[in-house]
Amino acid sequence: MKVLYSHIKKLVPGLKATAREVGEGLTLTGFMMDGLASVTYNGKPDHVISLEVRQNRPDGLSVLGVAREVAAIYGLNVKLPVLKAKPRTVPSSGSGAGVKYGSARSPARVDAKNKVRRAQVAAFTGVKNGPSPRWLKEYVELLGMNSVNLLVDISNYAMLVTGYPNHLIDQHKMRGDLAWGYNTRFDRMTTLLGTTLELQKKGEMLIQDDVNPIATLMVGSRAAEVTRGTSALVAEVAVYDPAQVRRDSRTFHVSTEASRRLEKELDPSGVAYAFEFLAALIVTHAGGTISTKLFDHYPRKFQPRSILFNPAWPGRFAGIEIPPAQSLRVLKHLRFKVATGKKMWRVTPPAERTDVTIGEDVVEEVVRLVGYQNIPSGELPAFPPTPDITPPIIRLVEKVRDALAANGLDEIYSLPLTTPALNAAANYREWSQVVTQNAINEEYPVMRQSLLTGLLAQAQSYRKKNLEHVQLFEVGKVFGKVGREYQERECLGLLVHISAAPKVTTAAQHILEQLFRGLGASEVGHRPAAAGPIVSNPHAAWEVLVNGKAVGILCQLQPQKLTGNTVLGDTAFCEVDLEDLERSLRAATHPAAIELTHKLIILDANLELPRGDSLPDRLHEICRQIGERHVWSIEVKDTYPAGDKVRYTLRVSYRDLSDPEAKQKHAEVFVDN
Amino acid sequence: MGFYLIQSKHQMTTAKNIQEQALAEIAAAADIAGLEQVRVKYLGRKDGELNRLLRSLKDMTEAERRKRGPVLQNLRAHLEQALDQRRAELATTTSDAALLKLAAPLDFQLPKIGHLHPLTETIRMINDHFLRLGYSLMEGPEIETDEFCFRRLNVPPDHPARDMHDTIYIEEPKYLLRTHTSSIEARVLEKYKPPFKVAYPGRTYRNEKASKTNHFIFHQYQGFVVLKEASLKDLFGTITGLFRKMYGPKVVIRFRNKYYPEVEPGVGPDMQCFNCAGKGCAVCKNVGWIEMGGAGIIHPNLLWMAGIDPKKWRGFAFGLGLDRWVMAKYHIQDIRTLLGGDLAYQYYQHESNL
Repeated sequence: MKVLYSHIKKLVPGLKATAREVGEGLTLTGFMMDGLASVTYNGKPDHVISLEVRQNRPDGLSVLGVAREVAAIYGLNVKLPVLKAKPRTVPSSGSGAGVKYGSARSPARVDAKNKVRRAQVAAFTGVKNGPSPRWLKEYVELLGMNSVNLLVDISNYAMLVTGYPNHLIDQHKMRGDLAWGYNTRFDRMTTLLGTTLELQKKGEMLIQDDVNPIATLMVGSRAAEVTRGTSALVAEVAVYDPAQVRRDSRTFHVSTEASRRLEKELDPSGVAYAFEFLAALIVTHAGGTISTKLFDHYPRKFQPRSILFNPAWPGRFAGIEIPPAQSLRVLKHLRFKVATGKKMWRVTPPAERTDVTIGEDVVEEVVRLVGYQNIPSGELPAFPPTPDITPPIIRLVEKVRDALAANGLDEIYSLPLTTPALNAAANYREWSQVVTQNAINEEYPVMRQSLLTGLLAQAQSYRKKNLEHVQLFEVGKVFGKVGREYQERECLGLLVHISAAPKVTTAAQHILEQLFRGLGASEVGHRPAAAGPIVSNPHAAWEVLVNGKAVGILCQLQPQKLTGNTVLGDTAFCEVDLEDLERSLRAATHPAAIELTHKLIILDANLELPRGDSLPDRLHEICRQIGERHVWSIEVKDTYPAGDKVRYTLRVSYRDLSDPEAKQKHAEVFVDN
Repeated sequence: MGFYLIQSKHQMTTAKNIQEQALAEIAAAADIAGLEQVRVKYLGRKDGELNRLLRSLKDMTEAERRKRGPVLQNLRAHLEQALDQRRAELATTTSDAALLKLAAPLDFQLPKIGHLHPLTETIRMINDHFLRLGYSLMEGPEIETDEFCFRRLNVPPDHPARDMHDTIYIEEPKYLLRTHTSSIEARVLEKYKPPFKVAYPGRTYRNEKASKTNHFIFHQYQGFVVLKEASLKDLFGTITGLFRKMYGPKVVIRFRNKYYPEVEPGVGPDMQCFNCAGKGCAVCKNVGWIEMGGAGIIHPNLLWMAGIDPKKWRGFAFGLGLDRWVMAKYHIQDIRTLLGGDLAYQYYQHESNL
C-alpha cells in the first residue's frame, strides 16, 4: 500500500511530522514502512510512503484508513475529503458529495443474496470520457497503478482512497440487468487485461448480464469495458462474504488490488460513502447525471461489536503501568466509543474496524499506541521453573551428532523432497511414497523415503569437486504411507566412502559400533538383511541390531547403478531409525560399573556355527547358559570360514568365580561347541 | 663385609674386585637398559660372575662353604640393593641423552575434523540460551494436518492469514507440509498441561520456486511459554537476551506491532542492520532494519481450543527465521547452499562452539 504524504497531510490537518517520521510512526504501530521515495506531485516536491499492510485490518488498504491511523498516532483528527458534485443535493452518507439520483430503475439485482453483504448500483448518462487531468494521472501512477483514461483512473482513485473496489461498466454494451450470482452459464471470460479465464461453473460467483460475464469478484471482463467512447455507464460498489472471494481467487489463481481488499472483512456500512465518493468524482470530472435511483442491496445491517474491556488489561499484558486515563485517551484517538464503568468498560470500535472483536484486540490497540518502544526490553524474565517435557530423542540426536563429528564425519542437511526414481532406488521399507499435490517445483514431487537420496547426491558433488574425505551423516525425517496413514521417522543416515573398497563396510560398521556403544548399547550385532536399497549389494547388506533389536541397515552401495557414473565408487551406507534406537537403548538399563572383588578368570574356546547363523544370538544364549552375573565379557578373537561353517575363537572372561568354578562352567558350556 | 679368595674351575677372582667393578658399572649406567646389562653381567642366572662364584661353593669343603657362603650371599644382596637404588634413580632422573634416545615422535598426518552443519551450530547456540532459562525442547511432525497447522492457530479455512502461507498439500485440505513450526505449539498445547516453557527448531515448507534468496524449504526457531503471568516486557527481554547472545551486547533491537493470527497483541522484532548501522543499505533494503521474525501474546482462542482457560493462564510465543541468520554468520550468498550442493567443510578448520 502506497500513500502520498501531501494527501495524508491534507486529510490530517495540523500534522507536523515529516514523511519519514510518519512512516516510522506507522511502522511501530503496525504498518511497516518498506520504502520512502522523494517524488514530484502536481509540480511540488512530495513523498510516497510504501507500507506493508499485513494486518487483518480491512481499512488498512485505503488512504483514509492510513490517515486515520496517522491521526491517532499524533492525537489529531481526520477531515474527510469533501467533493462538491454538481448539481449538489443534500449529503446522505457523510462524503459531503451530495450526489443527485434519477428516478429510473437501477438495472441491477442480486441472486446470490447470502454472499453479497451490500451492493450499491446506479447508472450515469451523458458522461464524457477522455484523458485524466494531471493531478489524477500522477496520483494513480505514483501509487502504483497504470493511468488508462479518466473513468478508469477515477475508479482506481476511489478504490485507493476509500479502500472499496468498484466497477464501471459501459451501459451500451450491457444486455439486461447487472446480476450477482453463481456462474451456471459461462465457460470462459476475457479479462480487462486480455487474459482468458476458464470458468468452472463450480460455485464461482460472477457479476453478469443476460449474455455476458461482466466481472468475477476479482477482475472485470472486456465484454462491457469502459473505453474512450463510453457515454453511459453503470457503477457498482459491493462487498461480499470474504470466504467466497478467497475461494474464487484461489480457484482462478487471480489476485488483484480488488480481491486483496474484498478478502478482508470490509465494513458494509462503508459502501454508501464509497459509492457516493465514486459517483461524485464521476459527475464532477466526467460530467453527466445519475439517471437511476440508487440500487442498495443491504440485507443485514452491520453493527460494530460492543466489547467488555477491563482497563487494567493493557498494563498487565504490556508488563508496565498504563493508567486507565491513558487507555481512554488512546481509544478516543482511535475513534472508539467508550462507556466507562467501575471495573469494566464497554468499548465500541468504529465501523471500519471489523478486526476488533474481543478484549485482547482492544488491549492491542491501546498498547501499540502507547508504544512498544516504551516497554523495557533489557531484562531477562525471572520465570518460575516448569517441568522438563523434552522428548528423549532430542537428547539422543544431539549425542549422535557430537559422536559422529568427533569421529571425523561431516553433517549435511539435504532436501526432504526428491524424485520418484531416486526414492525407488533408495527405499527398502514396506511403504509407499508420499506425493505432494501442488508443489510448483516439479523436480521434487515426492517426500524422500530414505536419507540415502541426499547423502548420495552430496557425496557425488564432493567427489566431483575433488574432495577426498567423504564421510557424511544426516539426521532427518524420512516419509512413507502405510495404508491410509502417513508416517515419518527420525533417522540417522551415514555414508562412508574410502579408497580401500573391500573395507568400506567394516569402516562403516566400526563407526556405528563406536557410536552405539558410546550411547550406552551393550550389544551391537548384525544379521543379513531381508531387503536393502536397489543400489546396494544384496550379498553385503545387514540389519543392525542394538541390544538385540533391529534399528537399521548397513550395506555396501554400488552408486553407479543409480547414476551411471563412477565418480564415487564403492561406498557404504547405514540408516538407523533413531526412534527405534532410543527405545532399544532405554530398554537396557544394566549399570556397567561394579565393585570388582576377585580377579577375572580368562578362558578361550572355539565355537563353530553353520554359515548364516546369527553369532550375536548364539553369544546371547551362551551368556544366558553361563549366567549373566558371571560374564565379564565375551570377545570374538578370530574368525575362520570353513566350508559351510564358520569357526570363531572366543575369549570368555568370568567374574565372581574361582578358577576351578570358572573352568568347570567353561567346560559345561563349551563341551558341545 | 670381608673379602675372600675364591677358587673356581676356570679362573680366580676376588669378591672385592667384583664388588668394586659392579658398583662402578651400576653407578655409570645411563639408562634402564644399560643397568639391566650390568645386572645380567654380575647376577645373571646363567653366566653372572657372582653366580658363578656361588656355584663354585659346592666344590669347597664344608668349612670353606660355611665361611665363604654368607660372604657371597651378602655381596649378592648388596649388589641387588645397589641395582634397585640405581634403577629408582634412573626412573626419575633420566639423563638428557637417554631422553633424547627415548623421545617419541609426533605424526604430522592430521586427523580430519568432523563438522556439524551451520544450522545445527546455530540451533545449538539458541538452544543453549533457552535451556539456561529452563525451557524444554520439543519437536513435531513435518507432515501436518490442517487442524494443527492452521485451525488450532486461529486460522480457520478461508481466513485471509492463509495468504501468508503458500502451502504444499499432500491431501488437500487435510494433510499438508507444515508451513511454520507453530504447529508444534498447537500440539504441545493439546498434549500437555501448563505451566510450560518450550523452544523448538524445525524445518518448514512453502510452495515457492527455489532461487538464490528464497527456498521452498527453510528453518525456523520458535518458542512459547504459558504461565500464570507473562507479558510483552517478558517477551521483549527474552528476545533481546537471545539477540545479545547471538550478536553481542551492542545489538540494537526494536519491537513494532505486527499481525499474526495466533497472537494478540502481535509483535515484529527487528534488528538494526549490522551492515550499515541503521543508515540503509542493500542488505536491509534501505530501511536500516532487518526483520527477524514474529512474536506476541498467545491469542486466547488458541488456549480455549486446547482446553486451557485464558483467564487463568497467559503466554507469549515467538518465531525466528534461521536461514538468514546462518547465511549472515557464515557469509553464505545462496540459500540453497544450506541444503546440500555447495556446502563444504575445510578438513582441518573448525569453529569454537564453546
